[in-house]
Amino acid sequence: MKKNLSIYYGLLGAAVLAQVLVTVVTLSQNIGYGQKISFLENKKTALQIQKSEIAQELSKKIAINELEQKENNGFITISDVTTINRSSSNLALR
Amino acid sequence: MREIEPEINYSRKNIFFAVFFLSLAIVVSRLFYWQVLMSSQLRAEGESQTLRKLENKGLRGQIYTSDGYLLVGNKRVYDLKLDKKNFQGDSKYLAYKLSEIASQDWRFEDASSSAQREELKKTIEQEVSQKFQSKGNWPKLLDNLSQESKNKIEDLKNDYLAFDENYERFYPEASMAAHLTGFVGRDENANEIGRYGIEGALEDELKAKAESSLFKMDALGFLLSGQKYDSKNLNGRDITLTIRRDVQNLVEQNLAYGIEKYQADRGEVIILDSKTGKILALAAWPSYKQWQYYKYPGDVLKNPSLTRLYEPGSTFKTLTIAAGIDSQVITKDTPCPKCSGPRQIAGYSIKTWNDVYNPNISMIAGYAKSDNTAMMFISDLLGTDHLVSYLKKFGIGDNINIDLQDDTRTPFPSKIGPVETATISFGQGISTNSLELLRAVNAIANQGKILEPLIVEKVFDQQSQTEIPSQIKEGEQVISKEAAKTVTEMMIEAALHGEAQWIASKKYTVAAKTGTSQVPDPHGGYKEDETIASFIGFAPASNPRFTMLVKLENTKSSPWAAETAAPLWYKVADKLMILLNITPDK
Repeated sequence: MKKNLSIYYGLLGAAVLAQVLVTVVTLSQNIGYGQKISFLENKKTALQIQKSEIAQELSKKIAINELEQKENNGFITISDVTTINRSSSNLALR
Repeated sequence: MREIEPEINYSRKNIFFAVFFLSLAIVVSRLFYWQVLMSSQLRAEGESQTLRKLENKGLRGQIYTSDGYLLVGNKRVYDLKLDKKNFQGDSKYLAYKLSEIASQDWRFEDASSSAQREELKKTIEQEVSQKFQSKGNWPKLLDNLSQESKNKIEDLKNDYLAFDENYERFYPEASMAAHLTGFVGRDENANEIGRYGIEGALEDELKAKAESSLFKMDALGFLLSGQKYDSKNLNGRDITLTIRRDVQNLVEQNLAYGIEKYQADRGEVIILDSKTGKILALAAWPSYKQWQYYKYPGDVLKNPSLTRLYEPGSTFKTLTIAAGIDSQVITKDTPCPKCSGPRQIAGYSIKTWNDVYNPNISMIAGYAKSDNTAMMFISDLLGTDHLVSYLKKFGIGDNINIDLQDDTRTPFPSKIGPVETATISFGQGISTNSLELLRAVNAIANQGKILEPLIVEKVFDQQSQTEIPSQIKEGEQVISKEAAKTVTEMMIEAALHGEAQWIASKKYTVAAKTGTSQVPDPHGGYKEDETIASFIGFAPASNPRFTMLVKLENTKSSPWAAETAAPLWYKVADKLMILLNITPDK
């Protein structure tokens, strides 16, 4: 009788332990899943913001108006093209 | 002795059972009430505590130039809110500090002088102070603040201030190509909506997508497992335009120079790629700042190249000549027997622009001298129906079919009698817009085949990560290749020996025509003191790479196109030859 009782309590204990383990694992998965998604979403948003800010900064720095303003006064744009053709008497062609 | 059996008190037993069953019945009925009758309400309440709606919204698509530069992007901005209910402190001091920071913000870049800035600061301070008295618990003190302003406000270390994130349109190239991009305004429900240009025409492509789904969450707001969560890209499609940043900048700078030098009221410069119809640049003056669109009158916001009708004048003669050559009623050497004096048609006396007449002038010379009587001679030979049919084939009166919201149809005259036929031949009595005329003249540069102007180079779809290129839209062969070649020769002659001959390039051949048109008076006739000067043509004429129209309205320095629009055309063309890497053909 005593032996039967100890088997009974042993099985009961194992069942309770298994249930506890299953519950803990399921709950941790539950919490882990949500936290992982939130973490990844936040990371994604942060990276997107960072990317857009870098792109914004780059666009500002290479904007043609900005570049023109930075040009020094000594810079003269080419407006008059010298054409060299076969009949040209330019020294470079001789 | 006989034992007496205890007497059972049945009534007490009955009372006990009655109370017991009654209690049981109450419990069962309550259970029935909660579990059956109230089940849906309870379920809903339970779900309301676990189910949360997750809302995702992407960003509006961006606009690029064909050489890959960002023209219109998105910028993160912040709205500043106040926890009014719990606020403790000096509201006046806070309003003063906030106005100091906000007045330096990007939106108020126009306030350049210190006096303007002081005034602006006072206005903002007043507005912020008023918001401290508003009814809500979280009044919005300031909106659309830049990151720099946000940082400065955070440095104030005020616990009652909080920020909301938002996105605004951002223009790294300032107001470049404003008439092409359009702007983002608000609809009647204060939602963002694209207006004019690409923003308006391609609203559905550009607008950000929004999605919301219900998810089961725990008390901390984290997602519970067993649910499918899909993080999608909800951004709108990116649009790449056909314009080149350097060419657009060149054109805008030169147009501003031309407007100032020739003291014009308005102006336009449009450049097409002759072989594809792609718009390389389109600039119009007056222009506007897209982020301050509300400060400008409505007609400045519209693209004048599409919406502003005008009588094209002598530039239109190119189409009359093309019709005459293609239908073989004239050759370039045909003499004009009706060019010795003003023409009398239906009681009207129609003269040349300078009242000078050239008897038996050849067509090529008549075109170069912009002789109205020579054009009337061609329209006589063609007849009204034939002339109208050619003009319609050239697309006069047709939509441009371009991805710009301002695209519209120009009215073709409904009744065309002998006088109208005569005046249309030299570009009066018919309205068109700049892009329509440029499309028609570009057909000559493209060996007689019409090309629809293109503004969208490609569209990039963020969801599928695919690129959708635009297709070149070829129209019909309006005139034969041979006729186009002859007309080109006549246009070269017009550029070399016409009114603008003194400015002709020595480096490359140009096929072009000047036009000085009159402005119709709403009270009848034409305005005495107003003209529209234009110069239209393509280069190098031997192998056209670009077709350009320069149009200046009401120039005060000189009314003539040869002295205003033509020099500006050559000024732009000289630099364009370098930018497009074109070998000079002379």
